[in-house]
Amino acid sequence: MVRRVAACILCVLACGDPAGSRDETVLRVSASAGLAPLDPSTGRAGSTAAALDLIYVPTSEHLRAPSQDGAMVRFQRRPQSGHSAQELADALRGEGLVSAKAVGEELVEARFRDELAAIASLQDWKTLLALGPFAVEQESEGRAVLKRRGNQPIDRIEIVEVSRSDEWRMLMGRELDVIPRAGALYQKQLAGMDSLRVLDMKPTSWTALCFNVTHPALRDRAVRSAIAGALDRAAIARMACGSADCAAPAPPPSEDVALGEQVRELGILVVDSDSTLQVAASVLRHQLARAGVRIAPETVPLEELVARFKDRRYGLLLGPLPIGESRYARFLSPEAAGHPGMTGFASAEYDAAVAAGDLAAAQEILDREVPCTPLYENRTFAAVDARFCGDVEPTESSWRWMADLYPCGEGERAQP
Amino acid sequence: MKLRAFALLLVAAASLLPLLGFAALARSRAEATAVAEVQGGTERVARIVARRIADHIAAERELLRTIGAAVTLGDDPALTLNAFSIQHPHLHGVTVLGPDGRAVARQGQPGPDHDEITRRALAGESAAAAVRPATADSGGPFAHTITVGEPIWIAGERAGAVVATVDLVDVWETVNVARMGRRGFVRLVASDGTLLAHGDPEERRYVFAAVDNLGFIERARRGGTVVNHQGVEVLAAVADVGERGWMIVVEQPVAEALGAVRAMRRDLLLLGGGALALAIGAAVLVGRKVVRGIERLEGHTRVLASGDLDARVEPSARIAELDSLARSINEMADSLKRHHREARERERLTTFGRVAAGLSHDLKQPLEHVRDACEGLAADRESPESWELFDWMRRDELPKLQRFLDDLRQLAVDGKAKLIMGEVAPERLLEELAANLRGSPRWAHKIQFEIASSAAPFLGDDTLLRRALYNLAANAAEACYRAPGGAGTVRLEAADRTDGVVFRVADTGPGMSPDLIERVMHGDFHSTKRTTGIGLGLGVARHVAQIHGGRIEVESEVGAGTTFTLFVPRDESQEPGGATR
Repeated sequence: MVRRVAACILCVLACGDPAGSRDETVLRVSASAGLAPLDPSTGRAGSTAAALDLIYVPTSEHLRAPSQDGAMVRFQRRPQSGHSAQELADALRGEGLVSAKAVGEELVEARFRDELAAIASLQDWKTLLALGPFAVEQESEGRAVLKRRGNQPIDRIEIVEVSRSDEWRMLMGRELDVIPRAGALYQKQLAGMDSLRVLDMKPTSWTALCFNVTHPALRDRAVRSAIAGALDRAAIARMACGSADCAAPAPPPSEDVALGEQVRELGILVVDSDSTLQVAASVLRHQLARAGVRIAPETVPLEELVARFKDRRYGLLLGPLPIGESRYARFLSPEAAGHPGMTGFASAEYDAAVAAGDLAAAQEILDREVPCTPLYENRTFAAVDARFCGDVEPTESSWRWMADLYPCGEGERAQP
Repeated sequence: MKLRAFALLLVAAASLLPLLGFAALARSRAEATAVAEVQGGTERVARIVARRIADHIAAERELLRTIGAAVTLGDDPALTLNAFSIQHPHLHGVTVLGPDGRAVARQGQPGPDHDEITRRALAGESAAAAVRPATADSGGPFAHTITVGEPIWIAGERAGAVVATVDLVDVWETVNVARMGRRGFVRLVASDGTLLAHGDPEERRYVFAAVDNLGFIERARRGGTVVNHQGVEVLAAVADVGERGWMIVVEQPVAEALGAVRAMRRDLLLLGGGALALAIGAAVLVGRKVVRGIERLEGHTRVLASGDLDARVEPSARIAELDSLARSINEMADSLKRHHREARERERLTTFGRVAAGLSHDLKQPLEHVRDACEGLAADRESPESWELFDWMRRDELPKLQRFLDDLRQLAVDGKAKLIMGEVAPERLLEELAANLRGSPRWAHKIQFEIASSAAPFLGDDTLLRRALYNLAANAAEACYRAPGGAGTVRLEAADRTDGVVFRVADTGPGMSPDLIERVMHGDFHSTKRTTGIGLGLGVARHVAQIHGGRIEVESEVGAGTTFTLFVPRDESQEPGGATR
């Protein structure tokens, strides 16, 4: 009897707090492009850059008028910022940042490793403020758990690194709730599934064939141009994105080069987590074989691909290339960009054209020099379990939209 | 139960019961037929899809053999295989081997069952491994896979083998296009229960989740309905695909499969409801006319019962039987009225006779006394006895005559005599009564009159009680007088009881038989007069007892005499003088 009474009292106490009875809402998200530590000072490869937007906001949202003095950078607090200078100093993160402190009510003083790091921090994307809707709670190899900072309806976001092909199975098997970026190839398999929301994203990148211009066989721009001209982009697009209309425009006519005599064999690097790129590589192999060039696809993990990319231990590489103007920065020389170029291409003329904002001239140089050639538009979409509502517009570059998702209410139906 | 309700129920039951019976029978038959047809159709579809899947697998094997031969014969085996792989992305880890087992060309990473299948294929067997469910580390394939090996034959000679891991996502299309109705889908299940494909997009998600498909299939094989993973009740049929033990299940939601039957059931319910409404409407329309006609006749009979025999009912129901009944009631009222009038006539005559008889009876004695007094005076005008008799007549008998006349008038007006209440002294009353009787020359010296009284005075009509007791005593004396020997004794008694006074008149006459007592006590004046000689006197006495609220009883034994008892209740509420009952 006493036990029953005690149990009843405990039950009443437990049921008395509505907040205590609320189930925790966890959003499980795949990071199929790789997941690095979620720290802006250590790198932004793969899905990490997009995920960082859940945790950080640009410094310029709260701080302004940075002034650099040696390794020191001083920021003024924006009047409309809802945070104190001390809170902003505590939230400041960036590559080479040693310390940050508030000086008075309106000034934040940041000390960097050296003057170079301080100068770099002046670029907005180099330093960030940890004031995003979520904070990192746990982080381990291939997995991170974010916890909400404010009143977001999602309590936690669990990010899991999985391959492109596996994330589909996990989503359909209800092991994932969100695939932030997916190729159009498997979209047909989702047709008619009311329990999944398919959210199209505006294409922002091409899949491009990039040349290591320092490779002995590819130093000659005529060879690169001939390879680019030998490709049937419509065929590649049909196999890689399911439709020929996502093919990139054909490049300008190339010089007449006997490819088979110039290049006998080339390797092509493809990340092993992206089956679409592997399909594209196979088609490339077939098309270039007709031109007499034997292509050997190499599917490697992302880390190896990045390492070989940096070391230029490759001939050909399939990877993304921004559609917008930001792509021009990818081809700046190391001197102009402050970091090694992606293909080894370096041209003072090009740097000058970009610096002058003459993008037409820059494009003309790229068309002539062919460090990369776009193959097809990356048509992507996000897939979200229909248990989560929210009028969101996913983008490839940022996952901030996930913070606007919420569990659908009783009788509420998520819009596709 | 009211006639109205009864009529309604009767009409409703009469119209609805056959309809309900028909509906139940039709529904039962239709449902059984529909279920059988749906089940049969589902089974046919299952067999067709199973054959298509089997054909698809056979085509896959043929494709592999073609790839193997093409790669073996091609100038550039790797490139040829690459071309095939591009065109058939569901083939993974394709390896073409020469007769010696060395790889001629390879595309992608070989699957986990590759070595075993390669060995068997090189031995000339069309080999296949078990289905490997898609897991997080499956790699390239999208869905579940099966590693298949085929020997390569070129110009009748075995030329090696081809082995590939087949992504079973390719069979989805075959499963997806098969539909049963609008929402009936097909599922493909491996022998171990692994869901390989499902036509329902939502159920398809369970391809990648561990769910109990064997239990579902077992229930489906037993027939009837099964609940799928979405909680939908479906009609399911199972067909085996082939030697691999795969199974095709065609399932259609019961709501859709039996939609026509349910629609028919709904229609029948609506029809039944409509029929019931019509029946009730008809019952109300027709029954109301009948019931109202009957109720009108019932009301009319009440009017007749209240005595208004002149009332008549109009036969206006427009229903032949009711109008006929109304006419019969009218005829009955006519007849009743006629009989009533005749009865009143008869009663008037009877009353007249009774009054006349009573008058003649009661006037007889006073008139005789008047005659005796007149004859005495006529004979001797100077005789003091004659004058005494005349004075007694004037004092006693003439008031009696006056009272008789008053009573007669009262009877004519009210039908009963009027009581003039006063103190009645039983002992004195009996003494005077006995003296009066002894003075009668008819019974002088032959009939003895004895009296005994212990009763106290009480309120009553002395004159009427005296008249009643005189009649009883005179009858008793007459009974003794007429008996053989012509003598006897009449004893008059008065005694108190708790609730009244009892007067007894006992004689030693011949007595009465029970039959005679019955007639005397319940007959009319004429009958008693004619047969017994008691006649009007007893009738007058009975009437006097009744108007006093009392009664007369009789005890008699043949040969031993008769005793009449007159009981008068005491009524202390009455004031002496003038009060009437």
